[in-house]
Amino acid sequence: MLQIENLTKTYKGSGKGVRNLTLSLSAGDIYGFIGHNGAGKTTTLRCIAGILDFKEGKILVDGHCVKEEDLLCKSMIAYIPDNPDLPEYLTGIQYLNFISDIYGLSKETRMEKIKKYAELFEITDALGDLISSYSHGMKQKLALVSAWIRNPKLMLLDEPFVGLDPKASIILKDLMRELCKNGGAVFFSTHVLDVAEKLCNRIAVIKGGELIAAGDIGTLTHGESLENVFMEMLKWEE
Amino acid sequence: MITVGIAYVILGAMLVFYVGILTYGFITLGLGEILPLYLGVIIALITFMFTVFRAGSDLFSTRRYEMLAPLPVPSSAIVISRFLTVYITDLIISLVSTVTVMVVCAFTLSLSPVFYILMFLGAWILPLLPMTASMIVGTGIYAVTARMKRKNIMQIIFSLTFFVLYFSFLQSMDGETEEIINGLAGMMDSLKRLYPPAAWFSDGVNGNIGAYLLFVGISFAMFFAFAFAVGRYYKQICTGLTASGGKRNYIMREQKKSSAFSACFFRERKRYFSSSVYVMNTAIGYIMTVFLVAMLSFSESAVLFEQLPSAFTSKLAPFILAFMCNMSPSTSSAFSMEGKHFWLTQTLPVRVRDLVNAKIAVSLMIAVPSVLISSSVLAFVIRPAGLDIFWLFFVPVIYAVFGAVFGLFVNMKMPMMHWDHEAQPVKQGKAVLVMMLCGFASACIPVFPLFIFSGIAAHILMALICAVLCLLIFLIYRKLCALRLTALAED
Repeated sequence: MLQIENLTKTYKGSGKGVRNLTLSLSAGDIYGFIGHNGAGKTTTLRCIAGILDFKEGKILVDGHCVKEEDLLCKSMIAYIPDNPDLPEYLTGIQYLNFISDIYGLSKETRMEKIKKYAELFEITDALGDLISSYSHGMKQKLALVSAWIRNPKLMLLDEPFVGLDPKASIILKDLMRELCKNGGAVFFSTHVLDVAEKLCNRIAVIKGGELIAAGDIGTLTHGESLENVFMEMLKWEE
Repeated sequence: MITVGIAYVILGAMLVFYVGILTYGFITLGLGEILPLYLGVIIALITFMFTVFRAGSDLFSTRRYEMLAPLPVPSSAIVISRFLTVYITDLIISLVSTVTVMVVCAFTLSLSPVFYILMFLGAWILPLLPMTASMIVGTGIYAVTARMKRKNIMQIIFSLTFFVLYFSFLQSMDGETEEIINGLAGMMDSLKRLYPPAAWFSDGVNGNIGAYLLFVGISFAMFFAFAFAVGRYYKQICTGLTASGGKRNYIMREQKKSSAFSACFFRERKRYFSSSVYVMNTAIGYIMTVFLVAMLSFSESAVLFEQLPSAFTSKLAPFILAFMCNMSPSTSSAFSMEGKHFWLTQTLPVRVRDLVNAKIAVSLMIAVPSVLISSSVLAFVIRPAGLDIFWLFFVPVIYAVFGAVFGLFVNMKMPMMHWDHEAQPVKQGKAVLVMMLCGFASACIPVFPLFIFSGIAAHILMALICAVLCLLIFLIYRKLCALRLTALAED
């Protein structure tokens, strides 16, 4: 589903970013991306989503290169940043319709999906209001609804649980599992190791822009808690 | 950076040139006495217009308030910092204008050193009163509309109404042409009535210390009274203005399907009309054009215009409209205005062509109707003959398209994606500045060769100008459609 080969993206000035990153996701994977602040998680996600350009490496989504077939790749991806800055001048329903139009959803499909996911995240009442009146959590929920109505093959989520109430977090985890069961894949960054351990079947650990571990969660932890393994990895790297 | 530096230098040079020529002209005509009064009025008008439409939203910016309110900083410090930011922009204009007048006076007149000292000190004080007045009006518009259902549209309507009233007032002052023609006394009376504090400043620098102290006293008193009032109630005002809650009563109903372009156009339109700063700064050229053309046709000036040779007015009129419409197209800040939402545009599977078309369409949605209205009114006033009627309509429309496409191109090259307040990309963006200068140049340069030729040669030249513009539009549009969205917000 997703193949990243030797991705190198550095920022002018600071020199920080990602170096030589290689990993792959298969259909059905819930892949956790772990690392401390500034490790390169968001940079990687933004490169895949088409926000950042990169000079070295290759990213393939379902076998298609994100640089050469960007529209095709984008039509298979739904990306949600850590801070969902949505267009505040639109109402919730206008935003969802805008997304539906871009993804070519029919009247019936959009109606059915918007209804389903908006009700699931309990934001139907607020859809007629301007996004500027939404709280952070509501914006996050609207962003999630907009991601799920597109029926993406690959879901890219940057810290998706931040700002969500406990019920919405549980619903999100269920949706992630459902998407993977239906042949999709989820690649998400998180600081919450507990969530990663329980939810993911594979994880990657990044430090200082370099991948220090990646693979099946069972193989990496050997029955220990992910928290301990993560701390050991960091110590060993230092 | 070099381009922006050059653009600022050119704008500064234009101001110096305009003020310098006027000063020299007044002195040559023996009207040197009027200079301080004239300077006071001009600075007041410019300061007022520069400040009024951004005052309310800038002073009570939600984002800044939420960022600064939890900090251990007194409200008065926040208010003073906001005031100073506005004051510095106005001060630069005041200082440049005043120093220019002083330099010309120094070379041409023999005046006492006290005159220069009072003029220089006055330059620091001159912006205070108009700035305070514009902040009161701006805050008033912001406060009245803040709780309205469609507050952004209402802000635009209120601002436009105020703008029309303001210019009608100026026009009515200008109507007393006989007094001006009667000489210095009539002209001074007219200006004094227009803005009395300028008269106190003028009397002051000419030796009446009492008048000068009155000017200084009133300026400071008004400024500090307003600053004090705002500082005292800042938190309450911000809370009152920014508290917003939705109705939360939406019921799911059938939705419509649109094409990708229609969806982008809808979003662009919403974005445009959601910001009164954006509308007022980009639609101002068109509004002024329609307003001035309407005033022209219904005032005494129409008679003057009709008396000019038709060949002259027919050639000039399309380019005057082109110049007015090319000053600030909405496209010159259209990418920048996406700001923190740009990630969405970048990650959607939408063709760049659709995005570009939507942004251009919004610009033309404003430009084309105002151009056609202005051209129609002008056609009645100057009564062009034959092909000149066609040029009067066609040239400004071509320029409107050129402005929209070129504006977007300039914004693509000089985006400002990170900003705190909408006024930054709209007013201070490099692209806006560069577009203003290029729009000015593109409308002015073709005028010169047109006056060399007449008859059929002039029509051929006009056709050639339009052909060159069409070619430029095509080439720039192609470049725009090949845009990589990642390049706009790089690093």
